[in-house]
Amino acid sequence: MREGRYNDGRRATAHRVTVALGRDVIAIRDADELTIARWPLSEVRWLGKTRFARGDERLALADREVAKALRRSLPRPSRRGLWRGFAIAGSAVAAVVMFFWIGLPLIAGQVARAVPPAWEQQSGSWMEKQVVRFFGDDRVCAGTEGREALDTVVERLAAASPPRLPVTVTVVDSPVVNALALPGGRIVVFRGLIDEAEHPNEVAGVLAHEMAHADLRHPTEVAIERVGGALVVSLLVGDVFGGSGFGIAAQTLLSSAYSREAERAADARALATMQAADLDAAPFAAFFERLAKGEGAMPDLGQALAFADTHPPSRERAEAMRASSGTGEALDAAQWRMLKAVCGDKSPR
Amino acid sequence: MDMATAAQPGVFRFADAPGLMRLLLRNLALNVVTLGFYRFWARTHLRRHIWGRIEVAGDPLEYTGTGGELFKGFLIALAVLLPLFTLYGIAEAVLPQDEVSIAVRSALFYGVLGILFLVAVFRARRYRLSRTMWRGIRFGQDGSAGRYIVGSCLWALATALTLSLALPWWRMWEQRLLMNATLFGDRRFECDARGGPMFKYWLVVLVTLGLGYVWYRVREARHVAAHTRLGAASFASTMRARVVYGRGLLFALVFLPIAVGLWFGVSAGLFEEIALTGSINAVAWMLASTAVLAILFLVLQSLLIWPLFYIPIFRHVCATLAVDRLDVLADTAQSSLAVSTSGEGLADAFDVGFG
Repeated sequence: MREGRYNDGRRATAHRVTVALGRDVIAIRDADELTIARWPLSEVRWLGKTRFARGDERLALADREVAKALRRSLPRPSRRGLWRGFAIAGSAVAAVVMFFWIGLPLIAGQVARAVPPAWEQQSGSWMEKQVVRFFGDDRVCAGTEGREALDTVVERLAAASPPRLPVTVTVVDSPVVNALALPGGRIVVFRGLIDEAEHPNEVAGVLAHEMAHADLRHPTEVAIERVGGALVVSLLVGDVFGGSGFGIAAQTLLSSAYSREAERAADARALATMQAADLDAAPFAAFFERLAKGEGAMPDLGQALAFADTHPPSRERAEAMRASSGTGEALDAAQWRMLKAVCGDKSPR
Repeated sequence: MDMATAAQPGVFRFADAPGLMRLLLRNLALNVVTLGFYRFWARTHLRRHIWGRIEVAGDPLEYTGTGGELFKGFLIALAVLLPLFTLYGIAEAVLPQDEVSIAVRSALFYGVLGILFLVAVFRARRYRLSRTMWRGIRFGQDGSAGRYIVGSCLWALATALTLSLALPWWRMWEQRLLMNATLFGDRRFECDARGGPMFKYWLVVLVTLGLGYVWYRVREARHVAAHTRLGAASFASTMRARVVYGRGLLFALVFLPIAVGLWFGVSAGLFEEIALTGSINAVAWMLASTAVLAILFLVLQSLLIWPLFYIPIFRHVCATLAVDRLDVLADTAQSSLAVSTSGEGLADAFDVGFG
């Protein structure tokens, strides 16, 4: 049965037709056996099932076997398109990976250098507000004498190596053992870190390290990288209002993981600052090692944000710190007690 | 004329066809492998399948769009949206943080986004229609996006000012505008649906605190069908809201136990692990497996919603739609309307529309 329905592509009328399959042409004939269309096989496309097309013309055959025979006589569709598809997909994925691996850090570094200090300070204060809000607005530690002790350390470090932007330190009452630098010279220290420290120079070392990050614009770079990355990801995935992307960005911002090179640079500068301020860096080295051994580690979410995770101890660093020539202590015993009590007397000791 | 003058059902049919699950799974796998890049082609294959199952007088609709067109449209959307988002990001970092300036710049930003959204809706509909064929004759859409945007904004304002009471008039204005811009070949659809008759139904939605919304939309669809003509042909729909509610309930009944079971199954084992080891690894594991769980959940949902919800609804919509003069449809000539070459672009970014 070589019957079928035919549409001529000019009008939506269905013609009852019979088809005759030639060597390289199909003749389509109407009820009066008149040939109303001749399709060269090279121009015929298979649409699925028993349907065929040539331009806007359509042919639906009544019989599966006839359709199969016609399909078999069509020239093989080239597989070039498929390979081209694979090539395009592969290079697209490669381009995205390269962008995140190489392009984005490069761009972020350049942009961070061009950001005026006023913008940096403004976005830093906004981010600090977000961080504080995350832990609770009433969690900012305001023990006057403890704060004064902290400022003494910051001033001593700043005098030794004047920062690009004025430094402000906020202490947040949270067991998290960490400190982080935000754009615009803003540093947040968590109570857990002060609790964990056994010597004033340990806190001084962490402060010098975070001040170095701030001075080297690392927080600004990371912020630009994260926000840019989240924006690109959410656009690529087609989710423009992507809470997803921005959520991830905000989360990783907190953990402030810098690249290995950035950490090394911050370490070097922190060490130089401590030396210039005549502070003994050996306790700072010990601090890294103690944290890494997991003394006092808490099995809770706070640990995910721990200083030790983003600052694994290295022999190189420890040796450099032990070899430093600084001798002084950052605070006297009375000041140190005040600093330990900056969030009220919650410390376990 | 011996063509029946009453609208005849059975002209529209949503055919049974194998292969949907295979198609969905293949799309999913390729989407994962290509980090989402495949979605344009995935969407195209899905549409080709669904369009092909809608039969009018025994001949299926045909979707002739390509993934490449959608991808091109996406690049155009990216070129529009990326600068917009960057500008807003810079404004957020640089401009003063007091309440007034925050309000002004977010109003501006969301206003521009809203307008782009309307452009996207209009253009996406035009694209889909221009890529839809029946018996080799193309559908299409003309008319101005500008009128649609301005009108939508004014109606949105009116609806807000009247606490949603004007909504039926807004909706029917939109349906009229879109249907009157819709073409099949050289024929134009004409629609004179009015908001007035829908008002009492909208009150029911308000009284039922939104529960009756699906029922309201079905009422609208029937009203629009009854007030739409193509030349001398007119349409009618006897679609029932209870089918949609029933299918929604079925989907929830099948899906929720699976989701809940998955959640408890995985999280119980996980909390045990944390309690036993109390290590930092446990936290990382918790975050990772929550993410995996969320993805599993979404995958399952996106696969099951087709056989359990969409397909039966499509079948019902087609079965309850009728047209009185099939000869008018058959006697339609191809139009010479120019066809745009890039896909939905912004619509993809905003994720509006079908599939």
